[in-house]
Amino acid sequence: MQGLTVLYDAHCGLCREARGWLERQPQWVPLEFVAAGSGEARARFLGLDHAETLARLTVIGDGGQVFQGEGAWLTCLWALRGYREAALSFAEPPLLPAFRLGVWLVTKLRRSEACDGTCAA
Amino acid sequence: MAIVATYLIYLCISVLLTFWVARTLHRNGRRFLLDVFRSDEELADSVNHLLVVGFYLINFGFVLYTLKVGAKVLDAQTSIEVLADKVGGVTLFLGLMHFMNLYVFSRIRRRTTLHDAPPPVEPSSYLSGLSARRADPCRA
Repeated sequence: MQGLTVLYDAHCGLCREARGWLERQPQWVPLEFVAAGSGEARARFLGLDHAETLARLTVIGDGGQVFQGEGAWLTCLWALRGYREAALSFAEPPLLPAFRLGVWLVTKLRRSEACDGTCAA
Repeated sequence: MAIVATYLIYLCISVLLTFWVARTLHRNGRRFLLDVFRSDEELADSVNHLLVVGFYLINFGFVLYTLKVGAKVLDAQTSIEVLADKVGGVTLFLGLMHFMNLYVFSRIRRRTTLHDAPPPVEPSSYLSGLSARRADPCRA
């Protein structure tokens, strides 16, 4: 995989923070950021459920691979040079439940705090 | 005179030991480096050579630096004790260096395997016709 497009929610502060953090990390796979549900996203990714991308983090590989939810979080971490090892461990059973819990918490946090109801799918 | 003989024996043993460990490292490290550098023989040999040169420098430095004997060596017993003490120190140091080298090798190797690792999860679905549309305008 040579590149990943991250569809992030541009209306949510936490998501913008996350985007900024991802951008600052050294990347093994270049990450490109497109606002979820935007005109650009709709024009580029025709077969995608764009309402869903506002509710769940969505990452699209240059070969058309779609990762959503915790898979998208793991793929984002995997793309970073300093976090690939962590991503591979988080995907294995001993740590996976904790990672899922973390993702669930972040999802809850972003919905209640920053999204003003726009995130409801 | 006994002290000179002790020094010479110490130097001989230390130098031979260093050569032996360096040769082992050189011979067996090559295979490892070839794997790390994806069978690029020239690069693997070059890195291998540089590692061995560093290994020689540090070890010979250590051997010479710790050469001086404090005790008075007058008989064979003291000579053997001093030799055991010195050569023991060099052997431990060589062992330490050797394991450090192995650690460096494994770190380099880990980095390469990490770099080649596929994403930890399978995609939930695929979009068709994506690469064709993205190939042109701004992604050169």
